[in-house]
This record gives sequence, structure tokens and C-alpha cells, in this order.
Amino acid sequence: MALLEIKGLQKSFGELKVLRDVNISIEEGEVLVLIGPSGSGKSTFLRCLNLLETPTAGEIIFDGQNILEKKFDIKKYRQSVGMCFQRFNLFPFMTVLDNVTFAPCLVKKEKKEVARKKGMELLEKVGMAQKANVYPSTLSGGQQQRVAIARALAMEPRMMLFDEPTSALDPELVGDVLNVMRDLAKEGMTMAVVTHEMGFARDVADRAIFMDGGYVVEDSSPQEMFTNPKNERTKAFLSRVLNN
Amino acid sequence: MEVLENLDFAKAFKELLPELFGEAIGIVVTVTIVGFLLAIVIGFLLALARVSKNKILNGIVVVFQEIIRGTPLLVQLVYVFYVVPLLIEVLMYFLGKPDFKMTMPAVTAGIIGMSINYGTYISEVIRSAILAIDQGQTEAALALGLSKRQAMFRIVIPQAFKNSIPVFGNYLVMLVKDTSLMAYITAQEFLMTTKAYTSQTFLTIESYTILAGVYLVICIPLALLVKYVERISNKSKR
Repeated sequence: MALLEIKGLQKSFGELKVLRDVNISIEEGEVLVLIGPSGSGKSTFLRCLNLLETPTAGEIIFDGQNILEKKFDIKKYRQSVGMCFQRFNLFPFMTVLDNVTFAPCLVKKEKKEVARKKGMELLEKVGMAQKANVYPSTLSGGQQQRVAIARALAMEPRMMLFDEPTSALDPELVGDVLNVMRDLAKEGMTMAVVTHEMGFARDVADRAIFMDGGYVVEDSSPQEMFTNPKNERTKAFLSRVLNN
Repeated sequence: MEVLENLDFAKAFKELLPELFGEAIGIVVTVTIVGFLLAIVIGFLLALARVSKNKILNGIVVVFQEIIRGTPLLVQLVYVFYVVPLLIEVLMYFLGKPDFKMTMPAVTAGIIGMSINYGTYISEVIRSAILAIDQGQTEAALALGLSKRQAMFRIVIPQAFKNSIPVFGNYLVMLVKDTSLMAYITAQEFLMTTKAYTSQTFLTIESYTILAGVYLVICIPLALLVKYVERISNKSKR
């Protein structure tokens, strides 16, 4: 059974139809990249997956349960789906370590020492342990994003969503973040990544999904998509992106 | 000129200053501190009501804010001091207690009036500080499994509050000066005390000059302190 199954997902903002009919299923351990021109709905789609946007219609089945049902516990669900944002959104008034331990302590009622120990391990993993006690504003964008990844992992999610995690970074900082994501993928984390990093998509992803105009236009392995795109729009987009 | 010949600053200093720095300063400090703390509490509650999605609550608060902002502080103080006790007596009459008599101490009226008035203005400061916090902060909190309430109280409000503190300081200085309005409702603060002294001694120029000086001596250091706090909080803005 798929970990996440999305059926007929639609999202409109007033008159504007951003997602028209999206059907995707994501298997446990799968790494999925979402690519497409801006305005194609990929970020909105990702945000629907943890209900930061409420879909207008459709179903999202997580572990056999429809998360769009009224009685479904959204908070519980969000704990099992981590999210990283383009602009990191670290909490500026907390130290790096507090950023990581805050939610486990508050939401999961973890003991402070336990959370701190686990937090340090996670910071170690993303290469940020030496910065545990500084404030986020003193960090570079790449470092902030790595902390943000550790923060999301601290909730021990079953799946991670990345919304253009490297788009706001200086080019020389992108690599560190992608390496962390690469390691995560190797460990078998289920990941959905909206990205413009075609190299990462090709090397790390199991599946590439090309979206345009609120639809999934093409859904195949990255190798297949990059070397032999079927759809005209995919071809046009990739030739523009890959030639730059 | 007679006025000039009779100038006696030394006498006014000797007699008026001890009075100002006796009972009067006690009243000014009490009303300032208690009134200001209450104003922050009121401002915080009003701001929360304004950012809540409850339309009815929102409407009530907006009407209340317009009433407070559309009337002078002096009129509000007079209203609290003279009218509110009468209204309460009327209310008690209808509740079957016709003998109920109420007098409002001037200082209490001052604290109530000041805190409501300043609370209303401060609420707009806090509200805009809340709205100025990046939406991404709330989203990050929600994505970590926090409830909307937790995201608001644990993530947004601490930041909004911290950002509001420098503006609070300016209101504090204003409040000190506005305590002079309480002279009109019989509170023995600086202005009232000075006025009483003048009517006994006719040292008009001396007394009111000293009065102005006393406000300056309090307000200028306070304003400098506020600026200092502002600088520190800007430096630590992360």
C-alpha cells in the first residue's frame, strides 16, 4: 500500500484554479521530485500535502486514512510529515538547539534532556552541532536550512516535504544542503521535493514529476524524463532549464 | 515692574519642591506604573480580540476603540470620575439597593481612565506587531504539529511583544505627562499641588516654571532610557 495516495486533488484561490486534477501515489521510502515552471502548482501541491493549504476537492489518503475528513486529527498527521521551506522559517528568538527541541518538548511532551540529546545528534547529522547555542540570524542561509531540516527531523516524521529548499541560497551554499538531503534519501526517508536543482533530481530521486497548469503532465524516472521526455511541455521546459 | 521685583525663586523652591516630591510624586508614579501595566494587559487583550477570527468580538472591539480614540482623554477621566459612580448607583438602585452610595477616588479614576485610553492605543501597536510577523513563522509552527493557538502564543506573540517594547516606551513618557490631566478630577498630582501653592503665595511665574522643570527632569531621562532600550533591542533583533 502506498504511504500517501492523492486522488483528484484540486485547489482554487477564488477564481484562480491552481491545481486542477492531481493524482499521485507515493510509496514508503520513495524520493520524489516535483519540477515545472513557476505557477505550475507544485508548491501549492506540496503545501496541500500537510494541509497548509486546504484542498478544494479530492482525497489525500495517508496510511489508509483520508486526511481531509473533518474528524481527522491534522496536528497528529503534521507530526508525521516534516516540512522545509524556501525561506527556512527558523524561530529567530530561539537558539539553534532550542529550535530543534521546541516542538518535540511542546507537542510530543518529550523530556528536555532527551530532546536535547536527540537534538544534538540531529545537528551533528546535518553538520551544525558546533552552532547549537547561537541564534539563527548569525548563520548563513545554507546553515539555517540545515538547522531547519534537523528541526523537522526532530519530530521523527515518516515523510519529508521540501519546498524549494535551495532556491533562496547563494550558489556556493546549495551543495551542503543537498548533501544532507542526499544522506536522508539514502537512509530511506520518504521525500517529496519541489526543486530546480536538476542535478539533484537526476542523482537522488526515484521519480520525477513534471507539473504544468495544475496537472501532472509527466511522471517517470528522472533518467527517463531528462533523456527522453515524452510530453512537448516537458521537453520545452527541460531544454530551457538544462541548457542554462 | 511689580512682578519682577517680587520674584522669589528661592522661596518657591524651598516650599513647593518638597510638596511636589512628597504626596504628589507618589500619585504620579502610582498612576503611571499601575496605569501603564494595566494598559499593556488591556492592549494585549484587545489586540488578541482584533486578530481573532471571531467577527462579533472583532466588531465590539472596533466600536470600543473608535469611542476611545474619538474622545479626549480629559473627557474620559471626567467620565470615569463623575459619571461612572452615578451609573453604578443607578444600576444598584435597579438591583434593589437604593441606598448604595459610591465615590470614586481620584487616583483610581485616573488609573482606570489612563489604562483604558492607553490600552486602546497600545492594542494597535501590538496588533500591527502581530500582523508584521512573517506568515512563515506560523506555517513552520503548524508544520511541526503545533495547534493554531500554540503557534500564536508560543511563536508569534513572543516576537510581536518584543518588537513592540520600544514603542511602549514612548507611550510611557506620554503617560507621565498626561497624569497632569488628573488635576481636573481633584487628584493632588503635580499640577494640582502647584496650583494650590500658587493661590496661597501668588508666586505664579516661579511655581509653574518649577512645575515644568520637574516634568522635564522626569521625562527627559525617561526618554533617554527608552531610546537606550530601543537601541539594545534593535541590536539583539534576530
